[in-house]
Amino acid sequence: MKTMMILAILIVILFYIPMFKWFSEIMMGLTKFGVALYWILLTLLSILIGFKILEKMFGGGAR
Amino acid sequence: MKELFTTVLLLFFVIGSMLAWLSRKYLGKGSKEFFVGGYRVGGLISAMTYAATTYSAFMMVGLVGLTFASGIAALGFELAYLASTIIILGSIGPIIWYEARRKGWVSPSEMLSDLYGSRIVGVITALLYLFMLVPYVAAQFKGIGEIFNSIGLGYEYGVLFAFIAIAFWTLIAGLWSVAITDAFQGLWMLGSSMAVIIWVIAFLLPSSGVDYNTFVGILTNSSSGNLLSFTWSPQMFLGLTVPWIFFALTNPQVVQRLYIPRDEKAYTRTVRYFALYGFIYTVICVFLGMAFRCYIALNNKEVEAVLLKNRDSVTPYMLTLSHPLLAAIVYVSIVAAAISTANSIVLTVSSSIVRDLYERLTTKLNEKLSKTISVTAILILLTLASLIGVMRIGYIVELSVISSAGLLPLAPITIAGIVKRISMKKGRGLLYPIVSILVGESILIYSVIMHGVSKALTAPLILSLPSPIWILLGSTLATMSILIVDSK
Repeated sequence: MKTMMILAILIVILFYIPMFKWFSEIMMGLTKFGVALYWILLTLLSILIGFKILEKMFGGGAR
Repeated sequence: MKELFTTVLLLFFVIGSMLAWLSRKYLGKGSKEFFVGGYRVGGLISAMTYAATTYSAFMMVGLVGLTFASGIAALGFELAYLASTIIILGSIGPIIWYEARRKGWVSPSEMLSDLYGSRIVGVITALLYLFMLVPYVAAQFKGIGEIFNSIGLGYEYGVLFAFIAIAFWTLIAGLWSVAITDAFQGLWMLGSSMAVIIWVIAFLLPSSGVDYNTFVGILTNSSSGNLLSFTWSPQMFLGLTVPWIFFALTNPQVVQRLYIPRDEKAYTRTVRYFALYGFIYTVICVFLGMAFRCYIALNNKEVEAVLLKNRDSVTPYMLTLSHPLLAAIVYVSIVAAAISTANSIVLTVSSSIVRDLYERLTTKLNEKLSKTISVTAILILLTLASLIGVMRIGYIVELSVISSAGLLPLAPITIAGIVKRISMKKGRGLLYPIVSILVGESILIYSVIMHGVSKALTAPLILSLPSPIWILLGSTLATMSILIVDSK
């Protein structure tokens, strides 16, 4: 559970990396929609992790 | 257009009112029934009311315009909100859901009051909600008024329509009528956004011969820079995203939605359906902004310049190019988004007034008096918001935007309270949240004085960082002492 939470927080922090120009340029170099795809991928990952955490919370009886 | 919009709006109002009327059969007695549906709402309705409450008229008007003007960074801003919300709903949400039914919470201020073992905390939080969220509701009224005005129906009639629809759909069966009409409105919002995107992809863009290469070429070489790259300043991105990352914990209308699913299965469904809804709706709104920028940049440079100066006009202008029926359906979807956000806020803030300023302070609970206070609180809040809306105060929209930062100090308080989950000793429980709120609000006020209401969130405050970072840091430090001192 702890690992999942750390991973979740890390993913939210990763949303801010495109603020650095060098990173957006790398992503744009891969594909013109690189920055958009990067955020979409992070969102899908965080949704998956959110679901996993939720599953564990109810599995352990949200207490 | 006027007649078509009126017809579609009437149809929308009649269906909504019928659903609200039918929902009365679910309503039982007492404030728990009226405000949180007796904790027995199904997964689909919970998810749809959560989505319709969260996503206001900002999405179809503000987000489309923001993307049109500043590009793909708007996607990062909105998806950061969705990602963090799903994580909060998966981790802290189930604890709030469980504790709400165990302790009988109705209002979110009552939750904080219980977590910190202090009634004063509940009263102060209720007043904070009132102060921060009335401008937010007034901004929704203003939005509906502007739509009526642009169609030629009169601004005041828009505000009046909003007042009647919200009052009727809220008072008829409380949470039940709000949640069921929210579900209807949420479907209308998503359905109409899908219809517009189909029209843009299938008709608007091909009519100008836009293919993939033209699309990418125009957006990468636009007059505002490369719109497929990150064009915002870091302060703007941080200033707008940080309050929204904690929205699920700070805004009472969505915190209260965590109480309502009837069981674990319904709660899980709520999170799943909301994630799906939020993802689709966000991607559609952002794509609309990008696609329309491409179309306008190719066809009309003069209009592009005008729209860049007034980005809230992007969606209304785009709709003038579509079939009047589609335009009418989308206009009504914007009205729906504003109503579904406003009615949930009004219901939640009233629940805080009833629970924290009456029911929890009285020794003998009078059900009839409680009901009267609920109805009066709803009507007073609506009257106040509509009066502010009618006065067309210019800075109301800006005030509503900074409300998210004004509620930000509640994030560390809620997280710390949930983590500790034991009532604090008297005095201690009162001290930390109050200090936390005071620190956070002082930083916000300082930022407003330094940079004005419109730039209070995005201008660099100290060390080039915007105010929301300092509000979060300040109120977190004040709250951290709970965990350290209280565990000694």
